Amino acid sequence: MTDRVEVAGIGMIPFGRYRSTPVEALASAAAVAALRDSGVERSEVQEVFCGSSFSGSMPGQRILALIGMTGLPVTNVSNACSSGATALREAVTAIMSGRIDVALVIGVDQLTQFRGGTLPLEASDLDAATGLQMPALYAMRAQRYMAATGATEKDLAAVAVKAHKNAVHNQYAQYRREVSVEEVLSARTIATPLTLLMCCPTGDGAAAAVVRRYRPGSGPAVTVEASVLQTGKHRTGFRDLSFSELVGRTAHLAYEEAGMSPEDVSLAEVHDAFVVAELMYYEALGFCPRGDAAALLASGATQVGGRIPVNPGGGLLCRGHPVGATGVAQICESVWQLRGTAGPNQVEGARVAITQVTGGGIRGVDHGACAVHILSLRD
Amino acid sequence: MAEVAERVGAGDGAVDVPTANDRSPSVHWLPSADAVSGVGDQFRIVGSRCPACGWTSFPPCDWCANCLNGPGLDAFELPLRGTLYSFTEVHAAPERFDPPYILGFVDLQEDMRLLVRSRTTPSELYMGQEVALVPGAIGRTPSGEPLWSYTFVPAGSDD
Repeated sequence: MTDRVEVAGIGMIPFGRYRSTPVEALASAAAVAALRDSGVERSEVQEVFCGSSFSGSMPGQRILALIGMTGLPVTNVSNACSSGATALREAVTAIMSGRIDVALVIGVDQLTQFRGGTLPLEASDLDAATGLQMPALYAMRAQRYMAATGATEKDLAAVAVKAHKNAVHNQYAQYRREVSVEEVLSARTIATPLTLLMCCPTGDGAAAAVVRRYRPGSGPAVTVEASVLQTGKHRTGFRDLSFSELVGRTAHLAYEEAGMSPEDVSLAEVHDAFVVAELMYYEALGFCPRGDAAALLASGATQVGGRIPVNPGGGLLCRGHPVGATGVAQICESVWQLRGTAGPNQVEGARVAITQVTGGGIRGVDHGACAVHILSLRD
Repeated sequence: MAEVAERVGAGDGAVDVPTANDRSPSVHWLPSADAVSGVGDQFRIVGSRCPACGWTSFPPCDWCANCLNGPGLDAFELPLRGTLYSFTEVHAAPERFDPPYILGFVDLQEDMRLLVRSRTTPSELYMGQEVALVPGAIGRTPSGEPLWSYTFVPAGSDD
């Protein structure tokens, strides 16, 4: 690909609980922050893409009305946990196609509307009607993953310990307190073997990005080198739950599109909605061979300062996971890293970031949607 | 209210199951009374099989997702024995499911895996275990009526 899209500006709000704030207000704050960060005027934005899973009808238009941006094409994107990243992909595609030069991408969700508990899956889905929700699905993955690899519950807990340690310095994270392995293991059981601290929190949040056609020679920029979306293959029967075929496939396509390999990556923002997911995604993203994720974590390689820092800001486990916002928040945190402004969690010399979201619980499918982006720093 | 026809299972796992022919509105089978019903020797789980390519599915459906044959596929009785692929004891769940409860993936044959509830004590279960499917109560519908479906027990305990 010869043309490129650059991420000209980003902004997000601290994720947390904002039960009495309208969702449009949460998102408008992120949108204004991204516009200001980019220096792009509202009048220059040609299209808007809004990713949200639980904000009802036309969230994009409702948000834009609050910031005086109306009358332009708005695409609302619903793809569960991949909504925000899918919205970004749509914006990237619109620019790459030549249709437009500048777009605003917003990701938002307000999960406190559900008053606690697990997220509602589709009532018509037989697995959901049988009593499955996301934590239970990941719990069964964890059981198989541990049986297949020899990983232990302490290894699962170690993912949460790293996340919490990283989040202490992330002003946008919902949880910012260090925890110990013992505290993680003894927290309330959600679905065996997962405890409360092994699951991302329920909360609200919004993030936004201004993307535009990249003009070489315009100075340092963060460009999008890959933007890939894939869907899990539906299987009625046997499926290996200990490895994510979907994420492996999506990542492979992304590396191919970018002309890169896992060794080129400086840092990764992965979909650690549940601790076992981070371990599985080390393998699916090619950071270690299959079965070696717990050892990779234990070696320190995925800590800030290690060979391949993963979720240096605390990931979904601590930042939180208002589903539509997450994909765009990963872009925000990646851009700060690539610009060198990430503060205490800065990954030294960061030049390439990979972001990955994977979501949607649908019967018979290894998740409904996975979106992977690769960003690169250009001088 | 459904007439109690038979007590299925033993001890703590025993359940009262409606008659095989009971179609009264208050008896709710998941996914449907056409797909699963009956007691004892009459217990059946019925899906679809494509007469053209042999692809099987559950619940019953009109179209073959493999070869697009349809509308209309053959009825297919699922095996009532399988292997427990993975399971978990769910604690955080909607109240109508009466948590904590066991949820597991049961492989009935290479191309048929079901998500199944169980009332067996978790310490009696292990991955790779041979299990049998029997009717059981799994909670209540969103509107509060009793909900029945297939459940799994260790194979041999259903004899």
